[in-house]
Amino acid sequence: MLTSLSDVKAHKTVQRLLAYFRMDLLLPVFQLLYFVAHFLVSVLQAVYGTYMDVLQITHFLYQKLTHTVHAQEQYNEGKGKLPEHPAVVFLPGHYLAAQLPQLVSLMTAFVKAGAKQITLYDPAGKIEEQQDELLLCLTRSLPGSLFLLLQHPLEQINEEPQKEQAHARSLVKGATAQTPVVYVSIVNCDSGVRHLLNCVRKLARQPHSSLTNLSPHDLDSVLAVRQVSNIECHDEMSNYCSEETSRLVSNPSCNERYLKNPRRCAQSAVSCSFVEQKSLSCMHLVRQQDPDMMIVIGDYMSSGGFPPWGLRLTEFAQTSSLGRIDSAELQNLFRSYAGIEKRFGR
Amino acid sequence: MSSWLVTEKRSWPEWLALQVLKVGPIPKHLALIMDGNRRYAKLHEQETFHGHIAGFKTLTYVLAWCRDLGITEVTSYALSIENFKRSKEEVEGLLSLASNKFEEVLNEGENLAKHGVCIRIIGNLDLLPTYLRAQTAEVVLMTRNNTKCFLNLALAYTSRDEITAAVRECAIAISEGRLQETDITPRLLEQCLYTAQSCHPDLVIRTSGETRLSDFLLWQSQFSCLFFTKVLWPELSIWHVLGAVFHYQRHHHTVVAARKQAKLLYDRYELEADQACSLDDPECGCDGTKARKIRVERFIADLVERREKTYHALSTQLKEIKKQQQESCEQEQKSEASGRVRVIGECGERVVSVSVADPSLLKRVQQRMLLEAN
Repeated sequence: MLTSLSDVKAHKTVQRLLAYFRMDLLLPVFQLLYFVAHFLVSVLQAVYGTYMDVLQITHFLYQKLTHTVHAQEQYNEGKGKLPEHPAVVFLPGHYLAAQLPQLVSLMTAFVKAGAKQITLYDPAGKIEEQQDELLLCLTRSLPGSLFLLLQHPLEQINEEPQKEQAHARSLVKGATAQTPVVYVSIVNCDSGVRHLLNCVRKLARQPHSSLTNLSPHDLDSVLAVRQVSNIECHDEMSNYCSEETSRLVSNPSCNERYLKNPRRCAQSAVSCSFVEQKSLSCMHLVRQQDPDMMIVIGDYMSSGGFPPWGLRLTEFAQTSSLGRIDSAELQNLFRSYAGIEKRFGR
Repeated sequence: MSSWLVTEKRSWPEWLALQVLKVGPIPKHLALIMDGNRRYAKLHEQETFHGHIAGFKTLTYVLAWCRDLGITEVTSYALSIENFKRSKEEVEGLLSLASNKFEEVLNEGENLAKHGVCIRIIGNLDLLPTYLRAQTAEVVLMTRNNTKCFLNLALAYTSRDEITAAVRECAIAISEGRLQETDITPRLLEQCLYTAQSCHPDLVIRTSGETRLSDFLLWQSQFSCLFFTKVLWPELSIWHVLGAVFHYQRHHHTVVAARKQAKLLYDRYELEADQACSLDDPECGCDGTKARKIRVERFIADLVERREKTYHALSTQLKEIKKQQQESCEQEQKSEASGRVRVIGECGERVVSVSVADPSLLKRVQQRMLLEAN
């Protein structure tokens, strides 16, 4: 560890002199320089944007001064896929209830770009409180799509199955099996951890031999099963629902007892908002995909406690506030995502 | 032969920057995703293997910078389970590089003890070749008593595999009756992970411009500050690391606050488990909580003991393998005398004589000579 001036590259004579120098006399100088550096960066950030923007400028200047080779651009503008499952993570203090319209417009943009699932993560739980309003606004902004809320299927498996509570919600008038479905998932700090713990308890009831051979793929199959909130299904939609459920049942890795009796495993209903309201009658299960892209709304890049299992190959992007994401910024994000080369370890 | 421990003096700007940064909070644990070795090799029109050798050199420099900064723990993503999908040649090259570097560690045990460096290996060691597995166990046992700084090397590692192993241990313990369902808490799961002895990383750095975690420390880095930089790993300089640490310092208070919230959440789970335990047997009351703690402690102690036994068994295996290698070397020397040996490889001015039965060994020998030259 660097503790004295003798650790610096200098002529031997100079080093001998420096060894007698007292480091504690320099401490106030270092403290002043520390605060000056932070102040300067704050000013630059206010002008140029995020810390990474400031770093890029600094790096560019450093390369110019030292005549080093430019770092190769790591992504090309390609024609790859757009994210099908984006996630939006709000770090603490970066989501206010008044920002709901901005969130709705962001989610609308995702859906128009082809997203089939959207996950929202807010550790403070404010989005969860507004979930009805959120789904209502989404339905109004995209009347041709069906928005369904995903939940973790079992909160406490030790409890007796509860009766389905009939919430008065409705489908979009005229919705059929061809209506594009967008799954919305609202997660908080608690949900991912509790879900994992419940899965451990559920797995413990399986035969010992299957436990010793438990692989990440098996655990993924158990964790990824999610329940769609109770919705009313008219005939076409009920066919669609049962197709989804049968796709899951046919997966041998899933817990057969659980999947064959989804109604027994019902939990308290969560509403999903649509334009007209009718009583709920059925539920179905879907397999949630891992988020392709995560937009972190905060001052620094972090998953902020987002359930970690799904973040294996998620691409991260960061912005300081929801208001900064305009259509141009979103196009940049999609473009950079499309150009990413996924090697999957190869 | 390169050493793991690099000691070099700093230039005046580097020394000044280090001293200024040390005024603020320094991350205790730094995690590194060393990406970009192959692209570096391609950029310099070299073979992939050269890129990995350059990457190892950069790792040794980064460890030196961390020691100068006061970062006491570093976790490095050396080999992912997904990397086994690469070509056989590249995988064998990586494994042989790892094996040679571990052999160097075993030879500089005193130097490591002097600097207090403890090396831990995290990952599914069953996926590694026998000799390398045995070497990793020997390295871990040799350096376990060093306590100044810690280097965790992720070999044959993915976070999902790690979490699955922890879940498997807990589920088996419940099915065998050693634990109850209500005993399972996030803290217990953390104690079953490969990184049970480490704190969570404060800062995660990934190079080469990729902005994903690639199945690395997903659980442990939930509240970490992530820093993605475009520079390729072998080109990483001290200034990139200082920039990352500076970024961490700017958001240190937010990171700490988020961690505190998570700690409160985990405390709540512990309380729920204690309450559930009391509820299970109302006559026990506080004894139920004590019984739960004893069950959990026994389970963790049993897990640690099993892992220790595995390490000791592998260490014994290494000694046997080395003994066998020595005997086969002596036999080869005897066969040299009979005139069957011919020169098959050159590296610079060195000429190596080896008895070759299988021509496919030629490339491996050349790689070995290249390593020794470096």
